[in-house]
Amino acid sequence: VLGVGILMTAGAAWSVGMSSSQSRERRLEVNLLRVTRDLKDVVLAHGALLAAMRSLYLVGSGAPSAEQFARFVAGGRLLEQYPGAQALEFARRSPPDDGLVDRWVVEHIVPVAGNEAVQGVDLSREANRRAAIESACERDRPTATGPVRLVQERGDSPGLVVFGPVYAADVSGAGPADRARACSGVMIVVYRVQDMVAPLRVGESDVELELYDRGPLGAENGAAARPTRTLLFDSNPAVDASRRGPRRSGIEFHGRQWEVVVAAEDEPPGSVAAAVVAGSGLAFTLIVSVLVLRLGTFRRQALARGQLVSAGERDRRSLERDLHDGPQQRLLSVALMLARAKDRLPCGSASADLLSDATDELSQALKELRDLARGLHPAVLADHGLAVAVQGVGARAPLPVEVDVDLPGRFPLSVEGAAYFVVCEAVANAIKHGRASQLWVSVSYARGRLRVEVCDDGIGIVNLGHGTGLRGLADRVEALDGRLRVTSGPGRGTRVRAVLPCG
Amino acid sequence: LRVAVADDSVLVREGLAALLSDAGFEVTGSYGDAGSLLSAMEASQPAVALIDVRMPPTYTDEGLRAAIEIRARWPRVGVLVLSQYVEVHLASRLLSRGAERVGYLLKDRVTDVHEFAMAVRRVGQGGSALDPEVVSQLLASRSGTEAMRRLTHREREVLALMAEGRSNQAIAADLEVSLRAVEKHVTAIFEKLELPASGEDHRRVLAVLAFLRA
Repeated sequence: VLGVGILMTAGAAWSVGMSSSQSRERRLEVNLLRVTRDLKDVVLAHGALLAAMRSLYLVGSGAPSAEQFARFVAGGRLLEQYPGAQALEFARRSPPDDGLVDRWVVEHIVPVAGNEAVQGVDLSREANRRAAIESACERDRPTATGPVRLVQERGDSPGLVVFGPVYAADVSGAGPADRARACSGVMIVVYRVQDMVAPLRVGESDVELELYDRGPLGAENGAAARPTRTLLFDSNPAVDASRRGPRRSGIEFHGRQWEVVVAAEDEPPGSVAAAVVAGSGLAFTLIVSVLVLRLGTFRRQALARGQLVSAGERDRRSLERDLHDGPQQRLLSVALMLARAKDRLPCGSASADLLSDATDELSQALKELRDLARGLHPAVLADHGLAVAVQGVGARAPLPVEVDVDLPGRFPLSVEGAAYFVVCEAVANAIKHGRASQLWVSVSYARGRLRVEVCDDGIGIVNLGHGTGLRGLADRVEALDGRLRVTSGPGRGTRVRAVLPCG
Repeated sequence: LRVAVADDSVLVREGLAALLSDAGFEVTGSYGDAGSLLSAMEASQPAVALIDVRMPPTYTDEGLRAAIEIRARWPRVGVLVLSQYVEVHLASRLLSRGAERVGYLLKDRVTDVHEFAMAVRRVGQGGSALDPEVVSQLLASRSGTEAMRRLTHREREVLALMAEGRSNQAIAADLEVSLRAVEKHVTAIFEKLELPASGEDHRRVLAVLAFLRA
């Protein structure tokens, strides 16, 4: 709120120095109001965005210079007003007389590391951005591109780019051709979900966001089957979310009703989280928009992957069962016969020695077969569940392991399998790479989620990605829609946390 | 010694029965599932029931549950549970009513006829037989503790064999030392671990296991 005030002031200062005529200003304002009203329709626009766009106008010739923009941003702390905004760009249409119609140039990018390189890029070369810009101009309304290249190039976090047209004249009632002519540039704002959530966190407190799809607008509330729940963000999966105070807020978007539940720990009154929960925050709205846009694909993918994992787990389980019922039993009966034969021969005879060797060999084969079966899908896991299996991992480890398992019962095979392998791999890692002297394993269940945590007091992993097997683990966990988080640092030990939905 | 055998695999069950007969045991019957073993208990009066953990109908822990039931209903009958894998936690379940007349062994152990027959006999005579793998897991979990560090290497070996349920004579034979030496080690172990001394083998096993599981 404070930032908005500063922004307005900065904008006013520019207007005194740079604007050319009162009437033009008024026209721009009318146009801007329309633009922002539409923007509101899509992303329930925030006052700061209006101020930013207005200020961009007021600096004069369609677009501010890089320096002006930078000063403006620095003075208005613009980025802080856009939770999650990674970059603000202003793309200006090339003057028609330079022969490059439809060529858009990125004039300015708010100084975010790595983004400067994009400056001067010909936007029209990127098909999806060009389409978004054209759509913004022709439809006279801001356009969101959904999964965004710029965002994805910078990391694998989901993101959204909103293109908003900026006109040099009032285009109310004008046709697409006139609007395109009048359009002096496009405002581009890049959002990343994870950054949008960041401001919600108050200090080190834990925040969790959940999105509920409550069905189409106008439908009886609660008449539909139970709302679909999506976990948007959890700053600390290890903490039981029920310990955080939940707050709810409804929102309408894309013709459906959504409810976002924010659970924040130790939240002081008037915090960002509180504001967001009130439903007025831009961040909040954008999180919903981004997620709704992505939800369809996301759900389909997750479903497909989940089924794949379950099938894999079933295959492993049935292979283990086949091993047990088939070769293991048969080999054992052969071993029994050999043992009896050996017993009937005089001790020390050549035949007895030979049989003795054969029995030893067979015992080894049986042991290898048993280990193989354990690697596939440990029988103990299928027969007795996660608690017993995890305690077994602790017992077999060559160093003290404190195991704390608190589970109400059994879980789906795939969930138990993933949780079990997280424990195995994390424990193996701690022993192999971490030089740990003590390990703590905890597995618990709360609110539809299984939480697995393995900590050690070792040297910590220096390079998280390297040869630790954690990547494969993350894949297995993520395939079930869960999340794996590894925190480690020199001398601080390693903490592997996984959260698996199983409700 | 009368022994009943329960294993869902006909090959294994007949093999076991034959092996036990060869070794001088009287096999009272062999059964394919826990239910038929339990219903034959009264009539056949075995001294030891040899039970596979995984049996029909769910192939999970039927055998273990049957063993626990036998211990409750026929406390004079020894149970020796055989399993494709061994887990400390499951051993604890089996031993929850004491270490008398109870055994828990990896199935592969049957290939060493002499050792196996000894384990069956021990269970039938009121003792216990805990798989070396379970014991080594228990020992490993305690290896870093102050009490364990006070033990010499030889004493740790003796401790493991005690936990398996072996008598002093058997330990002496196994380590190829005199009975007198084993007795000295046992006294030292009980002193160092501050365990109450006990003459009977199964009491001794319990004390040792209680210490290891603490």
